[in-house]
Amino acid sequence: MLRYVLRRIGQAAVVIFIVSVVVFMMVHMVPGNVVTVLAGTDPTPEVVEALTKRFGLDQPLPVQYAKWAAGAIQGDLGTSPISGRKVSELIASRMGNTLLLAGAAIVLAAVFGIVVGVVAALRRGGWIDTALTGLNATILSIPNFWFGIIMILVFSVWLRLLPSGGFRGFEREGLSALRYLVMPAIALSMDSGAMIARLVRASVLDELSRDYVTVARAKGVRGAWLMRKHIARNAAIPVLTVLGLRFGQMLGGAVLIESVFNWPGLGRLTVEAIETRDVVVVQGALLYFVAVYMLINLLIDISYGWFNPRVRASVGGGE
Amino acid sequence: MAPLLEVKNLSIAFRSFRGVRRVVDGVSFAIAPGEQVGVVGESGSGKSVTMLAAMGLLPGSAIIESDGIVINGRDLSKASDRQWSAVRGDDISMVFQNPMTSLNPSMRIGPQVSESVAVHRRGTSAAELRKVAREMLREVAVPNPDLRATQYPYEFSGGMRQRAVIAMALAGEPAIVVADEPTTALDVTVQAQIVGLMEDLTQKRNLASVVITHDLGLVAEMVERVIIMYAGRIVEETPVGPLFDRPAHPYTRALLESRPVTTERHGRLNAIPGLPPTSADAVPGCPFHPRCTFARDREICRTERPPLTRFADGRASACHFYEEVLAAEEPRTGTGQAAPTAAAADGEVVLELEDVSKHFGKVKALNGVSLAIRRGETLGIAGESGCGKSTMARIAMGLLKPTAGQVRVNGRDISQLRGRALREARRDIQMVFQDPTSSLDRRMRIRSIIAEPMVIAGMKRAAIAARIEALMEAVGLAPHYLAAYPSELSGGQRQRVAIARALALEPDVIVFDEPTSALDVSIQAQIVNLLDDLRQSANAGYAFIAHDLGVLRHVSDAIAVMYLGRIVETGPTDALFCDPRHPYTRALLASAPVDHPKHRRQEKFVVEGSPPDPANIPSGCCFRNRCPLARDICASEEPPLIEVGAAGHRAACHFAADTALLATLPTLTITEQ
Amino acid sequence: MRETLAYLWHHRTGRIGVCLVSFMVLVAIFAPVIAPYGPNEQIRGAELMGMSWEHPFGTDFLGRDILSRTIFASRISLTAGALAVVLGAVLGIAMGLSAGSLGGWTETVMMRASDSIMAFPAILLGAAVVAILGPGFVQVAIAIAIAQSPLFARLTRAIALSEARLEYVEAAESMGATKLRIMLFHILPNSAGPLIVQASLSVGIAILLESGLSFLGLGVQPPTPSWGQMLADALRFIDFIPSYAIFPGIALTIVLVGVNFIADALRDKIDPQSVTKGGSN
Repeated sequence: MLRYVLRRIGQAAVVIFIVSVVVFMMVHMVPGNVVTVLAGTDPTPEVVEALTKRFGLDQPLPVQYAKWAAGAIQGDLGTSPISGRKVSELIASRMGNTLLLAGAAIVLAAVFGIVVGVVAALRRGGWIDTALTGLNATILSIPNFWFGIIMILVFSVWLRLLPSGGFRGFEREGLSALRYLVMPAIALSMDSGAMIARLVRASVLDELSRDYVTVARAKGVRGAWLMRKHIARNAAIPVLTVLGLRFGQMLGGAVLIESVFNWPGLGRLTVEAIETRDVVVVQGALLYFVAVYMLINLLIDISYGWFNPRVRASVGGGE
Repeated sequence: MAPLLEVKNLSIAFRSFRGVRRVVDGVSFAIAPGEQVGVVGESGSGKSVTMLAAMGLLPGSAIIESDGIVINGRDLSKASDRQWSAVRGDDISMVFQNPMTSLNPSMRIGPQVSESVAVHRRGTSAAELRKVAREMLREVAVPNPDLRATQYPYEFSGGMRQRAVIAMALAGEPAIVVADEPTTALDVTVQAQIVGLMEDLTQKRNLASVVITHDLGLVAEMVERVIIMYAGRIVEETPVGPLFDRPAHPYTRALLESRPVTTERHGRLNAIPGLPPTSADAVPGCPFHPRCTFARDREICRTERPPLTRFADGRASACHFYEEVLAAEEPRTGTGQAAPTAAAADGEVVLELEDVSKHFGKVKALNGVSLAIRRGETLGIAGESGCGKSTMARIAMGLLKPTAGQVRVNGRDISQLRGRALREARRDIQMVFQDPTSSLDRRMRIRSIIAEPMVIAGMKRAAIAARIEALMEAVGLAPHYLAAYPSELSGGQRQRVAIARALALEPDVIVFDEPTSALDVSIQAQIVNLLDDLRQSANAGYAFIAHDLGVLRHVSDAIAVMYLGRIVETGPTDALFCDPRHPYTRALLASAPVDHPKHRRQEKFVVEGSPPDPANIPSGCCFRNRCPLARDICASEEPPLIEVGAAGHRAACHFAADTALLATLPTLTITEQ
Repeated sequence: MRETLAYLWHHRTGRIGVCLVSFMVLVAIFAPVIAPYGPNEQIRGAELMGMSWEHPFGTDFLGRDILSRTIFASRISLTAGALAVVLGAVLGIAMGLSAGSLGGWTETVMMRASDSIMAFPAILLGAAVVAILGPGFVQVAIAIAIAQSPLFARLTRAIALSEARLEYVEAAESMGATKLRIMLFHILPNSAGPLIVQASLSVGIAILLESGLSFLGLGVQPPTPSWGQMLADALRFIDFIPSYAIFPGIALTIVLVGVNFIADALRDKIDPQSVTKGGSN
């Protein structure tokens, strides 16, 4: 188990290293760097040279990378030349909002997915199953950012029930700030919810066809007992995996939904940085996303142990 | 006495996208308290489905009609799942075939064993349940039950799991247990342990049991009364005694005649021609008539469905001419003389393994194996799972590199060859795999499959076409199958294709890896006969790996018995079967199901436990920890293969020469030819 | 091919999918014939008009007919989706096959590379690639193709590994077949089913990504119309012309429903062994 965990951590480290190089190179391939942005439309050579020196762009790329990577390991992702703020501060200031939105969306998705999936599986082949499966297929095909726009149209423009976007935090508005959360959370949860529902249905049906479930039924086990003791635990593994991965992706910024609802999260931060060619922020944000995603992946892999007695038992042992 | 279980006029059909397919048609039977009944049939005969219906366990896609399914006096044919659940596990319970999938992997063994008590007697305390689990595990002879109850299924070996499954079925104290192929997924020596256990338990608890099986040997061993099913119907019902000497249905008779047995050796098996029908109403008239030797051209067999007629106490047959069948002479396995084996002795050696070992890390799969096969000779290789027989086959094929030792094909060491030289050398030795479903590429037509080795070898197109024709004829397949895909063929036909492919390049050695074990009894006989023909005509050496000792006795000139990556005994087939000199060989022979109830013995030699982990092989003799003869010397010294008895007969046991001591381990009575 | 179409036609939702996709493909092909106006034709004095007989979907802030632009935008979506999947599949299958057949060092590199791509949020990866290559149709397709390639790489490798365990591969080896022959003649044909399912799923994801990038202003540039870009405009003017948001979105949804129904129907027939993790976002 320990060896397995260490190997997974090693793999994640390799990926983060590759990604950091790629991100670094990528940003340096962007036509027009910090200098051209800051120097204005018609810069004198002196200004360009001064700026190039200031950002260390005259040094060889490996040196630049090493400096940047060394900083990143200590949590210093550099300073935005445009806003003059530290990238780590920028990320920290948006992280709470992204976490709130992603958390709300993943809870909605999980509740919807598990309820719909279990009901559909238990009514397999019946009209309820057909209806729910059709609903899922349709939801999966609706672009969530468009659905967000339609919600704005209905609830903000026509019914004037909910604010069309923005979020100023609980400190300023108290609990009524939740009104800003409703639509973006629903929009963001939709496709994940439908996907989870599908997966839950498939996993439950898969479990129902297992020999040990038939064996349990031959013992007289049925209903809620069967579900709880024999199906839920084994069916939960793939579902939790996908929930975790989806959450990881949402933490990487729900770019489109944040754009639609003007939600001050990490996704908007990155897109704005791309628009203003603020390469330092883009670098930092991308690296941060990948690190978070890899961390969640790692946690999922390790948590398999908790569900699989075989892995759990061998903690400290070999494979 | 009123029957415990009575099924009246049961019919089952399955709804699928291809329409409705009937799999069971008008089956009625009753099981009395304490009675042991066997339900025998090949796959698709409807035997398992019938018993699942009798437990209310069929899925919703099944259409079930009956005049009653009565358990303990209650008719459950119209019962809801809730009502069924009250009966299942309490009055009737089931033991399933595969112990590897029958246990919930994420639940401890103890709670699984006591679960039927927990659901039927709600409110039983946790301590009480633990006690039930412990005692049940003790009763099925799981050592150290206190610890074992807290373990998970993965910590149990196959045999231990099946014991746990049996404990699970008995915990609710049912009056009747249904066992669906309870030993099929287990190794031979473990099978014998489970059979013994079930016999003890049914006697001690005065249980009624229904054993579903394809194996007539198991029936001969375990039950009092037999129900034979074919194409969804009961074709014969009889006490076990007369079944083997005076069968009353041509199908029963044909089954008896088509199985190779360990006790005797014959020439050709009497294979049943053709294939079983795919559904209960696929064949008009008697469903067996196209394959029946008694039907000949009789009109009535083709047009009229024979009813199940009772003709004597407890006996019934669904044959228009059962009297004729009864009057026929005693059924014989096979006809004619055993194939001559003398020719083999003077052929040149085509495959030779010398001191071959293969280690995968700590796992020592193969340890110093030496053997030789001559042209024209068939070497049978026997052993249980994990004994290294498949590893050995793959090393002989050049698919795996040995850790040590030499593999010589036609005198040339192939173990060090690489690249093109290895690829060319491989053509001299071909393999027929166990499962033709996975050994044939499902996206290729039969023609391309058989042609492939010749295409790779660079043969001319015309020559390939001619050879394909000849091969199809040699394996007995009609030419129109050449355009078919493997999925359109039956299992037996697919295996014929695999054999044709192996023959294509006229190799010097052919390795058969369990070629018949995925097939039904009646089809197995056809393939065994085909192999017999090949051995007569094709001029190669053959290695035949199998766990079925009957098949091995039938096809082999010589036998090698493997245990934990070693050859423990080898010799001419008759010498080895009639005078086994290694305790493990004796255990294997004693564990094989008997082939006639008259061979049932009061005392029989059953070894305990299962083979140890090949990563952790005992010192000295590898069999010593299971061997009743083991002494100090066995732990300290590894016995060499020494010459005993007949020429070429060798065994790796310190006591191989001590026939009196070996005789304390009784095996079957085996007649010499 | 014909067999697959026949199967789709007999599948309940597969038939709906085929109808919807064919409809949109025909619309894209015959756009100049069907559309009442040119995609960039500005009608003076008709800016930001609601629904009317002349302009069934209304007009945008430059006085362009929304119906006509919605029709022409289908060309971008469908071609970008198809191109991206073809590129992504070729790239991914090559990665997966080389990983699965060569093993060792190649495998490690290929799999870590695809892990790295997967670790990026797809839309941000697309945005970053577009930032490097510059906005435009081909660039967007390349960006999406890169984001999709790991799905194909993983699936191909998984199939190659699971097929390699089947005995027919050993049988081929024992006949003296080379690794290349086994890959091309045995494993690739047997992977076709799952790969086709993955490709059909990917078309939907690609179209969605394209519209997302366009929505962020990173797709094809104005004045060429695309649905994502139109939705961005619609959001800006949502108080003035509410109906603007509806129709490009419906067109997009129709394509996605069609593609996904086809993908689901194909999946019913050939279940890919591994459900690949994740998706778009």
